[in-house]
Amino acid sequence: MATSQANVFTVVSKFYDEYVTTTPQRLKIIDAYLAYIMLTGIFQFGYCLLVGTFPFNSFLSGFISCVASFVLAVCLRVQVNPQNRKDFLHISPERAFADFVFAHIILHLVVMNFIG
Amino acid sequence: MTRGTTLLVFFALTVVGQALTPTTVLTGVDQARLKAVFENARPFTDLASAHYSILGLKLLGAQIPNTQMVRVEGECCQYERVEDNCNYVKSAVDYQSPESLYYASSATKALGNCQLSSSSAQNTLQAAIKDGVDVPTLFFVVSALINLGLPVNSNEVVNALTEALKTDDSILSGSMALHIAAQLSKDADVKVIFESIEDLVAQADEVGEKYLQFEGDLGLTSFFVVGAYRLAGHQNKAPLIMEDQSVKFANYLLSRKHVQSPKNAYDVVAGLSTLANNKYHIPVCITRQSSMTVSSVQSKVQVRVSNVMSGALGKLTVKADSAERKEDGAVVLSNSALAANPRDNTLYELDFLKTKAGRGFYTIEFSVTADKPDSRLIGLSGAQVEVKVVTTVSVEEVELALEDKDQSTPPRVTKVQYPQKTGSNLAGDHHQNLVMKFLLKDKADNSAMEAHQAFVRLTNKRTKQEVIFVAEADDDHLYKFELDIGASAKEHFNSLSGLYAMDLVVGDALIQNPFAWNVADLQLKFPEDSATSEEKPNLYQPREEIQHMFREPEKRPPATVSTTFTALVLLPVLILLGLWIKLGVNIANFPLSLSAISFHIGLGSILVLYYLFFVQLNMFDTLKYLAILGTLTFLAGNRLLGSIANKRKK
Repeated sequence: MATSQANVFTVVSKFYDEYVTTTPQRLKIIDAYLAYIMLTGIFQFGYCLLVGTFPFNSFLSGFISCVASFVLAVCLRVQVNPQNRKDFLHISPERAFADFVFAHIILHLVVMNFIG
Repeated sequence: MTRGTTLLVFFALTVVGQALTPTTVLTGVDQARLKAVFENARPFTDLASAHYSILGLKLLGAQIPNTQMVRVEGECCQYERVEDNCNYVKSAVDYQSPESLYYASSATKALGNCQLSSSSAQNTLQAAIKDGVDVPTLFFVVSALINLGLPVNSNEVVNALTEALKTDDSILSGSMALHIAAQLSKDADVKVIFESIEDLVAQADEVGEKYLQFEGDLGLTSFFVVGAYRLAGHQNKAPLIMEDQSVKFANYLLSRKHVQSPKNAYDVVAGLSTLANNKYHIPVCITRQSSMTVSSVQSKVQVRVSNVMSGALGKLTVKADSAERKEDGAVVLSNSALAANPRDNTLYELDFLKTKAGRGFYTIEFSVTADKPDSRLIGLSGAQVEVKVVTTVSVEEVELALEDKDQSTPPRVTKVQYPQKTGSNLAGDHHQNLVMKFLLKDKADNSAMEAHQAFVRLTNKRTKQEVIFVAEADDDHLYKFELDIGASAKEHFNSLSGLYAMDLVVGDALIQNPFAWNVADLQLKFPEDSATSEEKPNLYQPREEIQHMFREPEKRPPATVSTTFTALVLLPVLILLGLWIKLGVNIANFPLSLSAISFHIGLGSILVLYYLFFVQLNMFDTLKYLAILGTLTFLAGNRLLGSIANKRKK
């Protein structure tokens, strides 16, 4: 029905406009990063579906690297978002970023070990 | 007591019907072996074995070697003649121990010209007979005193013995009491002890209606037997042992004749000597001396009739009561006297073939009577001896025929005579049956007979493979062997056509001349299509080598696909960079401080380290470097982020 379609379209476009205007730039950068991670993960998974899981450990390490990076980035975004300041009074954005970097270092060590 | 005696007498009468006789005898070979056991007890290691060895040799009537070779101390393999028997005994005796004195005194008494110091012995021995003395001590003391010729107070001994027996009713003590009583003076009152023989015998265990023993103990049984007959002789009264009990004791002692130690050997010899030489019971043994086979060449059955020690029994009349054939129970002789051998008065002979008995296994039963009536002899009837009568066999009426399976043409019959062979080879193929008939005859009475083994053996002359078939006889004892050449081709002959030698193999326990006779050579032809390969695969040859196949690598997608996807995966990076540029990433604001630069360089170096880890390094090294780089990066980062935070706060 045209109205529901129109409703969905208007909702989406309104959401997009609000996002562009109200989101601070930092968060947009992180969102771009998130989109990148997601695309990479999707491509890896698609490859696995296409040609099979050999070598399984490589696929796992790559895919989990994407997933974990995504999760860490989401955590960073949540902690850095000024609107959530009240929930993270004792964690400054710099501290959040430092945690992010530290976690990534460990993640990548493990991924490199597992990728074979 | 009288009721018991009546019962025993009743049993004795019923048993007479199935007379018992010893199963074997102590042959000369056995006695030589036991003599060697005694002689090998030297050099003596202790007084007891010296005692048994010396007494044993004396009982066997052998000379006691006087000197012994003893190893020179400290020198290997050097021996010297040392210490005769008497010196050994005198040096080994312990004058304080009645047991030691018993062994020593018996040994010196047997040696004859050896004397112990009787005074010191006497002190110990007489002091030992006191209140509360036990039966073994009493036995040692009394025996030693008698051996040394010293006086013994019989009444005192009897009292002490009666007292001691009240609390000790073991068979050993009971037997010792018999020995003690037998050595006392003739007027001592030992009636109770004499009558205890009956009670002791009642405690013996019977095995298989053939053996009688006490607790499976050779020493105990022998000791009892010697003691009982000794006391009986001393009292001049027959011991209350039944005749077949005596024979069963003898059987038990004989069953143990293969012992190895001096004590056991002495027990066997002492017990059997008593049963060979006493006033009441002497079991008579009948053993076969000739070979078991009776044939026209060797027709005499020879037996030895003796006491248990293979000793002569005086003039006897030996009769064969019956000879029964095992197969059908036919009795071939009765009441035949045996002829005594003039040179050896224990041997008696019977010419068995005079009975015209046919081939077979026979059990001959004997009975013995003494020319001079001797009530001591027991086991006079019922002795059995087994012999086998063999015969020569002849094979006759041998016919070979090859008949067609479809019976179209009459078979050609070839007759063969043993031991010849058919003139020409017989040829058979898979349409035919091979039939062979023959008759086995007992040459002694020209009757047809069957043999245990009547085989037809076919041997392939080239490959030497054999096939053996059994020939079967019909009711008239005519043997027939049939071979269906076609049907048996695969199973028996492996379809190998060729020349086969045919042998008739006949054998039996009762045949003197078993034979394998090459009757004919057969040329057998088997159907070609069922011919298997020439040689059956030899199981013992090396097999084909197995090549190892390494694990195949997994299937990989073609290179193009992988490359495409690699590119595809790297694509989002470009998208990210594009987005960031569009968003206006603020690179210009990069502080050019040391901490900033070193932080970024540190991060970069960590990534490089990870790449090296993937390519080359192992985890330990990586962790080592990571620790260093991580610390630096951490410090730098800390400074940098701190400064950013401060800037923000300001």
